[in-house]
Amino acid sequence: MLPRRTQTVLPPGSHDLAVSLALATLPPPLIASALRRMTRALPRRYPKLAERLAEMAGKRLLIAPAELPYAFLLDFPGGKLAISLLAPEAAPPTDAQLRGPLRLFYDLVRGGRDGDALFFSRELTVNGDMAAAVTLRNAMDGAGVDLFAEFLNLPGPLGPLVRGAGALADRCAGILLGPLAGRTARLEGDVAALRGELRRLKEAAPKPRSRHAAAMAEALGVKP
Amino acid sequence: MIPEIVAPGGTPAALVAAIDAGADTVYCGFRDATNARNYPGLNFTATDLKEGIAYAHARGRKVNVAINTYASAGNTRLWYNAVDTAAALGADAVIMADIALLDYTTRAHPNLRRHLSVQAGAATVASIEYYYELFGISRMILPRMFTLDEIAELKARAPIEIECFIFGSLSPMTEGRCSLSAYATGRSPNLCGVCSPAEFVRYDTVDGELICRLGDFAINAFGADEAAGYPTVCKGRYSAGEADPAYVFEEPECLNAAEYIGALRRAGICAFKIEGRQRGRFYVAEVVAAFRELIDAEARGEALAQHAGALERLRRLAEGGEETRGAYRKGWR
Repeated sequence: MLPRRTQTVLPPGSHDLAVSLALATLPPPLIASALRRMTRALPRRYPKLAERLAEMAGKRLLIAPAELPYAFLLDFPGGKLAISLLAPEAAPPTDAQLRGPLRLFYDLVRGGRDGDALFFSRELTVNGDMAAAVTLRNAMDGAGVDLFAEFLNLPGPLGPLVRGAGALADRCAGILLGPLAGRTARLEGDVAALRGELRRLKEAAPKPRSRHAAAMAEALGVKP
Repeated sequence: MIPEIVAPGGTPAALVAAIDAGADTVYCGFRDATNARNYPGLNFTATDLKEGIAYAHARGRKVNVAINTYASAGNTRLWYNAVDTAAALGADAVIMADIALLDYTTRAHPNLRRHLSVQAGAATVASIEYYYELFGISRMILPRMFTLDEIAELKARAPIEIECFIFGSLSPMTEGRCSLSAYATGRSPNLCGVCSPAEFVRYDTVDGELICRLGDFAINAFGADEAAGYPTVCKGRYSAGEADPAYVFEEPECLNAAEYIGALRRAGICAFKIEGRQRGRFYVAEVVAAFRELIDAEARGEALAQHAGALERLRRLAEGGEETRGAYRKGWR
């Protein structure tokens, strides 16, 4: 079965904010329990994921969102994902460590941002064994798994509670920030146009010669 | 005629994202050394490919299969099997570089379209004619080393369709012949399908600097506020003598030839290829959607400046945060 479409459909609501609030305020044992239930259901819901994660057996990764008091420790027994919570300073040795803002991980896991671009821009820090980090990213992204949607859609009271908080946050944000959104979009367009113009000017200008090239030219008696 | 968008499908999810975003064709490969993006967690099993082709064909789109590494001596069966599987599953074309594989496909599957991979490094009219006459190739993917004028001249003289790169990472203009990765790690894209294999790559943050190592070599160090790039030898920074470390091969930047869409179309280019099978579904969806907008706008006669939003979306995905027009306008030659 092919992965679902690009973004898994979630009901309306600012789930990023609601999930952030839930992760930051709910007792860690409650979150850990929900994560266990979610990861147990993954092989049934995404049969091809285990196949892609098979190469991860024996690897251990740490994901440390900046705003949370705890980090996520990822293990892959038999190619199956298992997530536990721990204090970042108490983390055991891991093959790779991923660090960045919580919002970034939210977008990444949902397929809403590009991991390579986040790495290039230094918003996401990845240290250690890149094969482990890349395999995990490719496997999750390639199977179209949205862990946050899975988390919100778990049976029990947690999902509806967080979804409700998201919808409420949306309504409040709409009232407060709606008028600013249009203006911001117009400014972004202007900045993009200026950036394009700057790039064209930069490319049209002759490149400065390096110190080494200048010294070489001088030694050879060539006019710069 | 509006050129088709040929988008990367590194995974089944990326294939779906590309089709949904408006790609005309998706190119992908099998999960082995037969394709030039043999990275962990990527690529297609035969079942994945069957489902991907069904998804594309149901929407009137195409799937091309890249079998574009060079077969290894004593193990050619893996490559022949890949061609047989692609043919049996209904692939619209196979993309190849190895002449033994081209020969096999010509004989075993004469009705299967054969595209010449950029990895073949065919850079002259004579070499293109050679591949056309011997293996009946329908299309060639142009190595990223030609200027716009050279492409127009080439198209006028070459008897086949020409596809060229419009966006994505660049390699050092010796495609199919680069041995830098093999020098540092023993594995290369040409024979193993991997450039800078991930298991040889390490990034470590030391005093705010991001140190990039490939095998036994430290190849770059990025300051705290400096954009990073891919861990390839060609994008490394090196010291020569007493000079400051510098990019001696090329800088970490991304080809964006959006402003040449019109010129390339008028030159007779039939397809625009987007690089990036190693990237995720978001990258694929964003880049395809942006080029769908730009290519359709150009066909309607609209100026690129009217689509600043699409250009900005592309810039945000660029390697090293920088864009280049590559060889299409070689001011430096």
